[in-house]
Amino acid sequence: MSKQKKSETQGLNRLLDIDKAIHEPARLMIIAYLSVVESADFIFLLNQTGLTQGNLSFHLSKLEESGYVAIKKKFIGKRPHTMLSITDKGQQTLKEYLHTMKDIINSLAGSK
Amino acid sequence: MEQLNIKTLEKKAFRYFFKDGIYDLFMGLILLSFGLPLIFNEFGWIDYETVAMPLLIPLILNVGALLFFVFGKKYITVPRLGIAHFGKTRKRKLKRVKLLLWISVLIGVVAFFLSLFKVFPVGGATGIPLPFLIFGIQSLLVFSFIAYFLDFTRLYLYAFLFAISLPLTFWLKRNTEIQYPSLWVFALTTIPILVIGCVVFIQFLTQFPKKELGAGNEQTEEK
Repeated sequence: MSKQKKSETQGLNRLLDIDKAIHEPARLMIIAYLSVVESADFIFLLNQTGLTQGNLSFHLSKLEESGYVAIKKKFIGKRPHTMLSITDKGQQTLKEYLHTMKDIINSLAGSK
Repeated sequence: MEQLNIKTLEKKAFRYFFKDGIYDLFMGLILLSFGLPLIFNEFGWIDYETVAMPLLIPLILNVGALLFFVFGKKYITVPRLGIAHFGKTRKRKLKRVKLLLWISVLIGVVAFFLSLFKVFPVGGATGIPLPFLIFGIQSLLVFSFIAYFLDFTRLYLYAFLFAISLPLTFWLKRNTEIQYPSLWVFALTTIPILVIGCVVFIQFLTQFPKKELGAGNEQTEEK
């Protein structure tokens, strides 16, 4: 196997290491928006992402399970209010994800 | 394809809060509060010899604009756009905006009282009283800086309209025969801001209906 082909295969193999919790488009969108704010509520994310309430709830639960998003419930007056924020682990994972994807795409584009 | 990186995503998320038109309407009402006493004076409805009325009209309009802004944000914007707290860089920019606004208010108050008690020299060849020249320049500078810090593009236009309002009125008064110069100038400067504000506000209400979230606050439906 030539040196170039070997590196391409290694590059593609890195796809298997990608964290699937944030690779899913809706979750990537959520985590990207949360990465640019300190915290935001459910309505903000609903409008920004264009997801349905059910979908957003589902993906937020997945991200919370993975430890990438922190969900804090509080009361504003008598109404419950949910604030969401990205955790340090989430920030780090997003950074690594972007770096890895950039590498893979660059190596694939370069091999053409 | 739209180039999107983290910085532009943050800008996009921050600008999203200007979609309600409330800032525009607030600015329009504030400018109107400067113009109405002058217009009423031209029509002979109020007299500058009695200090109370020229003070009362802006005061009522400013308080009204402030109440509209605060309650509008709380009861109209937040239920539709939600809440987001931005990071350190944005907070730093907001602090600068607050500082600029305080400086602006201070200069405005000083200029207003100077004009009210007629303690001002006339601005040389232009014939524009100094406080109104100061008002024009500081409006242009302060609002342009705020527009820059907040990434609020429409504010550049409002800065220009604020800046020309008072100086142009007095220039027209002294140098032309136009009837009701205050009426014309403030119609030309205030109406565009209020119209833009109304259009943006109506678009906002139709584009972002009030969200009825699921029971248990959002985390109920699963897919």
